[in-house]
Amino acid sequence: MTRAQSVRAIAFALLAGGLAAACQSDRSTAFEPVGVAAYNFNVVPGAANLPSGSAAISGDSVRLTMSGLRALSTGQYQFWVLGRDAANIDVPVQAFGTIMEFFLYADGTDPVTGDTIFSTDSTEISAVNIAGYAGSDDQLVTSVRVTIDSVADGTDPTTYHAVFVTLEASPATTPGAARFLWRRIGVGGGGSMLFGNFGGSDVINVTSPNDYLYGARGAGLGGARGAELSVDLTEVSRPPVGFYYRGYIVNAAGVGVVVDTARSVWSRDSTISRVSLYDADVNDLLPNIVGGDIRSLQIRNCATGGAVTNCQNTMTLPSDDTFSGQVSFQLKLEPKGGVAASPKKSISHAGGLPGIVTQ
Amino acid sequence: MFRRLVVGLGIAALTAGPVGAQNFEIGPRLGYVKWKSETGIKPSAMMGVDAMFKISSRLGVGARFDVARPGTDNQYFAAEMTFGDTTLVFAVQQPLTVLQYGALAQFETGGSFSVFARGGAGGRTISLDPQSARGRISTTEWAFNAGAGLRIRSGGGTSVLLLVEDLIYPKFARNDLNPVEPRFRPTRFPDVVPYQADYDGTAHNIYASISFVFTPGGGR
Repeated sequence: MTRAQSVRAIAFALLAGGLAAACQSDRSTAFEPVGVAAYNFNVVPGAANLPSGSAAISGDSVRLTMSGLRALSTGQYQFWVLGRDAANIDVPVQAFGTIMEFFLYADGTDPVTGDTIFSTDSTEISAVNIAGYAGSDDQLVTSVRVTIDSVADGTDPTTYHAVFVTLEASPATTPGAARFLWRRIGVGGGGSMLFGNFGGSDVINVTSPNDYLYGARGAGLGGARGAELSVDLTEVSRPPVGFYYRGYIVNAAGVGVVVDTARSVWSRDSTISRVSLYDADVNDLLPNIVGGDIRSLQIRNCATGGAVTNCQNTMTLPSDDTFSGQVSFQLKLEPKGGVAASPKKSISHAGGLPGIVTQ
Repeated sequence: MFRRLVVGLGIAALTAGPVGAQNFEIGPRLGYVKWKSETGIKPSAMMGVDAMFKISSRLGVGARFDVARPGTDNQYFAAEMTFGDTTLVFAVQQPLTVLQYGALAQFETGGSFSVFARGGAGGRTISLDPQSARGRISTTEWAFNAGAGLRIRSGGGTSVLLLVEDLIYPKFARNDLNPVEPRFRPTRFPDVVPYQADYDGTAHNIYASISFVFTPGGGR
């Protein structure tokens, strides 16, 4: 092969290669939108209807007036006193009382039937099963007044250090861990009850360093995209023991549709991606749980007919115009054992949906 | 069986006749690579060159160099960006520069139409598009190749080689090709571009090519 032939062979090869290379897509495409846009809305703390109450000492009884308690489909609320004397400062004793008043609605009447939802039950009780009184378990109690007039050993309840309310899955003779509402009457006398995790005996402080007081903290960003809703929140307070977070879409009539239970945010690491935070109240090992905070959480779901890839697609809204007629997103603090969708629940955070998706 | 084959090939190579003075071949090559789809690289052209020293008429050793400019498959790479009240998801595609280089050994049966087998080891360097990624980012790892083909001698020391090779890329991580900063990778709407699990492992890529081989200054 002559030198000229060699050169021609190389030239041919390179020319062909150059032509092939030129046919390749040689430009980057960084801004090719995929699918429809998501329209965002802010989600901010908006605490409403959280469990609260007050304790008043009257003679030899303690009267608790509470509100914001959810009706339960299973379980019940029970009442306890703690620490009769120094030798028994950490010993809880079951309390018995009488329900004096019981209101489901602010004006005391059922808006559908017009009946008065009111009880002056004089029977000694150890627990309140709100579902039994309501006739429907899809309610929020606006007011319940219980007078604790005796305890299990027959002693005067006012001589005890503290009174507290628990959430029990079944009738209990010793209190469970969900001690969510309390008042240290031995230190502060009557007054506001605290909501969170009761820290036990403290003969000095009304609010003990051992208490965990719940407050609606943190904020986030939600987005509605087609049939999909995704809300991310950061630095949210952990729920008190016995409670968990769940997101709802709520319409103008106050009717809520469940979006999902709070989960960890999506991650490429499947071990920490979208892990249910239902047990964030008790499980320190769940993703993004640090001390009393959930560093980040996500509420995400798609309409049932949406069939979005890798989405749960269990939100009972239409797949077209999914959010039409809806008004807001609400993150609610629900008792475990509480019932499904309800418009009247304890709200932790809320955000209005953008008009462009609600038309 | 394998040992017998290797010994037989060795004996055949070393007894295949003397090597002349013109025992050096150059082979510019042009081909097409079907990258393993999980690599996130779309099929592309590839060009290269072999420089082969013929130990005997049947056995040669040398070096190879190949280059390709494939594009990434945007179904694997996405960015989620929020502009105030609107969030958009973008599919990101970028051109890559793939270099493969290394040592090579080739055994052939001889004759006007000869069948040959080849294998080699070396490295590969994959560079992201600096305008898409965060600066000049390249990854370099081992690369191997194994293949076979047909040599058609056309006289005057020239040949045409039809070759199919497996370009073997161990320790391939598709995430290394992602030009999107982690903070912009979709987390709120991760399934707009269907998420597929990370790919890490050994990628087998099929390379079909044609070479124009000649001996500089003529040859046997």
